[in-house]
Amino acid sequence: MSERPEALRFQFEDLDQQRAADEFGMWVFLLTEVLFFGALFLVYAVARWNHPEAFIDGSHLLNATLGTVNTAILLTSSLAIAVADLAVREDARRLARWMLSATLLLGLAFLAVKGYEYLLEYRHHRVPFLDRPFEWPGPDAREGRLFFNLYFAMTGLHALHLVVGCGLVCAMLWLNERSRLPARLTAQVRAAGLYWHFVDVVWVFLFPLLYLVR
Amino acid sequence: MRALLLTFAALLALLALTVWIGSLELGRVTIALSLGVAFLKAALIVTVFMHLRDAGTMIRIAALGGFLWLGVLFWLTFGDVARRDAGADAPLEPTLVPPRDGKSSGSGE
Repeated sequence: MSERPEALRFQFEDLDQQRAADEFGMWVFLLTEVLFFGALFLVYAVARWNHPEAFIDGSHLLNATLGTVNTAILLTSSLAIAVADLAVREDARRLARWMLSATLLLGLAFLAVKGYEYLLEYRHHRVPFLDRPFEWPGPDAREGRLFFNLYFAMTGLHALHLVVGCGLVCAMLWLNERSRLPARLTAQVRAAGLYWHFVDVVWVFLFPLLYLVR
Repeated sequence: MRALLLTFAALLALLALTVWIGSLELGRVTIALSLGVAFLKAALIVTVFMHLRDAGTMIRIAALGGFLWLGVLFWLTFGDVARRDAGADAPLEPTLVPPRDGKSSGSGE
């Protein structure tokens, strides 16, 4: 029997099998995430079906410019981590370090913009919880609260995923510096990238559904 | 590398398109168009950035499964919701609809 590569864990026959299992496991995890977010999207769809006008009014109260900027930031971060994935595959650690750093900074920039939006909404009395006064420019304030509750729940859960993603990218930066096993590092960066892109896909749907309701 | 950059350019173009669609004030058509663009963007990210185009059958099934089960979730829910006469002014709580023959289904019977 030939010698086992060091990156190969004991339960696998060879590296190909290990890679297939790694990626499949990550996809199955993302599948559960699709349903996790899917439940919120379903609540959104039912609420909007029942109260289309309130959702249009609520959407006009959000800052579509900041939303657009944030979408561009997140799409760029996805490109950066995709390039990092490629770089790690070629064992170009320096390029990988740059691209992972860019991903992290763009992720943090997204969170900063999002936080600024939350601050604006807090100041303008659009927060329907925390015992804050809620101001709504129309007769249907209850439906307005529903819209903003959904807005905070959906963007909040998304932001939480992005925080986790930033943590993962930090871990990848660290591994990129000290990992001795390229085969293991590629699998790790691939999994982190899949997660990051998934969070990007969620935002791709959130953006028009929250900011561009007309 | 080339594929990644082209995909990124396409994603930015689609972002511009979706913002433009939103600014047109098309009414109910907006949601259909912007969801269409969102699915296109998601498809680009999933196939190129997430490497679904070079993935094996198992992963393709997993990816499709996500959307399939989500579809079932929406289909069954809207099979109910869309058939109620709830308009924009309907209350937020679910309401009991009286049976068609007009008899009340009151309590204590």
